[in-house]
Amino acid sequence: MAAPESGDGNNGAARMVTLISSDNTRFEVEAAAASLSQTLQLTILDGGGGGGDGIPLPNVDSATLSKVLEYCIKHAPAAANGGAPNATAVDRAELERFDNEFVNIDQSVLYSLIMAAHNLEIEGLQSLVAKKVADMIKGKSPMEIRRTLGFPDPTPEEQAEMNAHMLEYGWAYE
Amino acid sequence: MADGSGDARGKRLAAEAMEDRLSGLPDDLLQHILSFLPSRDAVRTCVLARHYREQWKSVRAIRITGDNIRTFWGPTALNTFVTCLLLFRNKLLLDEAELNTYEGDEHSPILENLILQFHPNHYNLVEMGASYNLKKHSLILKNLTLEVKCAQVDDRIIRILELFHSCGLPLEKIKIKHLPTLSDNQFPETWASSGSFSSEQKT
Repeated sequence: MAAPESGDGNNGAARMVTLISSDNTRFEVEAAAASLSQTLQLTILDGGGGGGDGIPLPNVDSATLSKVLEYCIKHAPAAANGGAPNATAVDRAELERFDNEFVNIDQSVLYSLIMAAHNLEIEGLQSLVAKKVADMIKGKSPMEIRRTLGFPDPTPEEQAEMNAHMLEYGWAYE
Repeated sequence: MADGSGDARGKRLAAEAMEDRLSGLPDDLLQHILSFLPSRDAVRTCVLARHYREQWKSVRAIRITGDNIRTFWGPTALNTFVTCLLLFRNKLLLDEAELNTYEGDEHSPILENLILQFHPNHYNLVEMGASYNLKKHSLILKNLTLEVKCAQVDDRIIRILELFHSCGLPLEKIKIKHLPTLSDNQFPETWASSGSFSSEQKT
């Protein structure tokens, strides 16, 4: 994130852009990394984000944004190679290791991340988190899922409604 | 859950906040999450909360995989499940379809015989088939026979047959049956009783 470049992206040095989180923290990052976000890519292609201006991201707080950028910076080289024709197996394994570590985090952070990925249209990140959440609930009973996701235990009425639904969906319980 | 103590109340409040947030995810995001689950798990989330009731119907993936298949009571339960899944889901294109073996045995594909029955008033199956990602899962085509039942061969059917063929299904394995008097209520029953999924007949 830290780099002295603040100018107008000549061919030599990597072009930098500044992103501003909802709580007004400025993040300077290579345009290539920020462009993993479809939304930001459009702004950047239009010449935005350079110099002192910065791109405001009113829906993303600084904690989440720094996590998002960590992902983008790690994935930018592979994305620049158009998905990876020249990526070696080692590179790919390293990315996979990074991804696994990356989502090994608190649920509330996962939630903020997936919302940010959705807002910023970072497809890979959204899939990564979605998959992680799916893994958390895979093979569990409804009650177990509710507990995993942190839902409160159902009230008797809710329980009755759940039971009625399970009967209706008998074909999914055989 | 213990009640009364401030701690328990705090926990419950935190839990409710989490529920609110998860319910607050946009539908497409929830559906994206569900798309990574085995299809049966995805369907089962309908009981979780009101907001989840119909989400599974719009999931753009079908996943019926080895590990998950072993949790079905048997081929009949599996067949019923697939039938209901296809009938009740919304008619949306699929991004992915993963269909693996019954016993996790690479030699017994579950799709030995796939019957596609087309009905003028039911577009579900056509859209489903037309978007199968068969190239990714060519395994299922090895022993697959495809039966097509329809009133007449129209564009939709040609499209789906071309797709299967382009993915390596030999033409001689495709059977087309004309059913000129297909009625609305006949449709689900025939499909349900077609027994199109293999059992563990291997020795």
